[in-house]
Amino acid sequence: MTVIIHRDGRVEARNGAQDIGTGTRTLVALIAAEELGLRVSDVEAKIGDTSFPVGPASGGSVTAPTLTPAVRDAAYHAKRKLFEVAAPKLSAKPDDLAAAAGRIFLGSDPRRGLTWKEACALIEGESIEYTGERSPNYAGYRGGVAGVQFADVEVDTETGIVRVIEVVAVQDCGRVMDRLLVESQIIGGVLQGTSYALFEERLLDPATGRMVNANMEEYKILGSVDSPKITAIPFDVYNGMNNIGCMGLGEPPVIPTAAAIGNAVYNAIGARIRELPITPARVLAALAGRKG
Amino acid sequence: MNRFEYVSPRTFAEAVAVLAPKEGDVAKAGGVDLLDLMKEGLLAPRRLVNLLGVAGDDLRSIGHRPGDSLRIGALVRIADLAKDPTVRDRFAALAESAAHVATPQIRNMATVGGNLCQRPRCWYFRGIKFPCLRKGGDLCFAVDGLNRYHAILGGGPCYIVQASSIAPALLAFGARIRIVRAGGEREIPIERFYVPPDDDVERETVLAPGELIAEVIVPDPKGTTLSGFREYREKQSFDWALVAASVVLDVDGTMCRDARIVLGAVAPIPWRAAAAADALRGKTLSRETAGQAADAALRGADPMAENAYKIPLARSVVFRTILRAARRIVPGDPEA
Repeated sequence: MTVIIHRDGRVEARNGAQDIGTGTRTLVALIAAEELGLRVSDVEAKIGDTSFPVGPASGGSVTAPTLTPAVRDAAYHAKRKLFEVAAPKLSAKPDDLAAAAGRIFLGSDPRRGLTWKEACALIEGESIEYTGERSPNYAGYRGGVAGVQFADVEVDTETGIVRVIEVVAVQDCGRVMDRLLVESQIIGGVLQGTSYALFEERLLDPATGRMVNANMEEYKILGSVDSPKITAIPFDVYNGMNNIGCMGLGEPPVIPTAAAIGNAVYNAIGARIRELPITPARVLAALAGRKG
Repeated sequence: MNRFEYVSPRTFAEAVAVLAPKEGDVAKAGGVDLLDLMKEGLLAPRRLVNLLGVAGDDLRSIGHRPGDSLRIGALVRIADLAKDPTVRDRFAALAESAAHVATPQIRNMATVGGNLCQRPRCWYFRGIKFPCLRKGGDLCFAVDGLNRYHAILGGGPCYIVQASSIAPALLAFGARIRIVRAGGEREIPIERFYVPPDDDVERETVLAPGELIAEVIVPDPKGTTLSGFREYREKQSFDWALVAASVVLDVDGTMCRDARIVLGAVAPIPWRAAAAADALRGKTLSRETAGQAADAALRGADPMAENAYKIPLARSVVFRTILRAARRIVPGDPEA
């Protein structure tokens, strides 16, 4: 991860990782801005370009926890370089300076300082640039996150049709960096989990092995009417195991949903469905088995 | 997809003339199923004849003459059929069935004529790699294959289910279809429009090359007529019906003078449940008589390995649709 502070005050944070809808760009800008004492909108997050430093592949729920400590590292060191540039002007030592609210100032006397732009104007050449890295987690890193979900379902016992009314999802992802993004990721996971609980199934013709439903019509994915009310509850856990304290959230919220729905169906009808998806045919078969 | 010519006649007469039975000419209205068929490799037209370019309202209007008939042009969009006040008021089962077609986007594009002529959704028929009976092959792959959505009534030698949502409702209302061709026309009851697989396994309708549906004519119900439509499906957003029922009741007080009950998605053609109608005729409408009719509707059902669950579903949908149609005269929740 490279952070560049330009002489005109602009800040860039660059990495080759891609944003596949999880908010990577937002998090990169967020952490750089926090470290530099700027607003998120003051940082230009540039990602998804192979000419930038190598980033993680989009998978394994690792993008945010891999990138953001490196953003912190790069921003911290770039800031130190800026302190070295600004210190003589403030008749101070670099170690005595702090950055916050768009200013560089003495920690012991905040009135003595420069605006961000004034400090950046002192840079010799075009910019300050630092490429930081992702250090190993600190000792005691436990890894993994935890979540719990609750499902409220309605089962028509005459037709076997299941409607998921509501899902409440509590999810730990380490330290919550952006609540809206975390909630959005949890909601996405619950929607996918609901879809595979009730609908999704890859059907292979037994004689030929060909998939018969390899299209968006016959491979069933939930639509808006099938979507439950979802309450996403991000659960802050600060474990302090890296300079951010974050862990991955990409895939974990999808894991509990189908099990919660399966348990709710069992609670509703008193019969276990042990195969997904929970189709009307399987619910009717389970009900028939219960009676027998 | 292959290259094809595209023509857009200005009048219906011109369209009919252009479509004179020639190999490779295919008519296009909304183009919904047509595009599927072309992308699936099942249809490679030499020329598409666009019907939506035809000027004038004749094919796009719904006309009602009280005491006589409802006339629905072939190019009426499904969305317009679903919201037409007369259809909703006097032909509720038809409006409700139209409202359940696919998605709002598709209903805004799909036409009545196209909906009636769409080809079956059977995954073996739609899969170009399966040389099934309906594609001129010598095997119905569903018989020993994956058949959870296939026919439980009237199947064999092919087990497709008829795909149109509105056809069963039209059949229950006794609709007729006016078909035109270059130099002639004919009018047939919709019941004779659909071809069972044991008559001809390679076609679903009697429409011959060069023929087009011009309009659907539905006789105006006499006396007090109640109707309703209901379908069950796995997904509530954009899915095909597992089972569907259209019920038309001619009533005198709470007595059923006559009934027409037609099932969708259970058979290769819209399936008239004559025994169910017989069970209601002359009886007082109640939960009990509705249940007896529903039982009668499924007598003779012959499921395959994976679709027996459709029998209780179909029984339920007939029961609830009778009660839905009769909800003004039979107390209680039709869904219970």
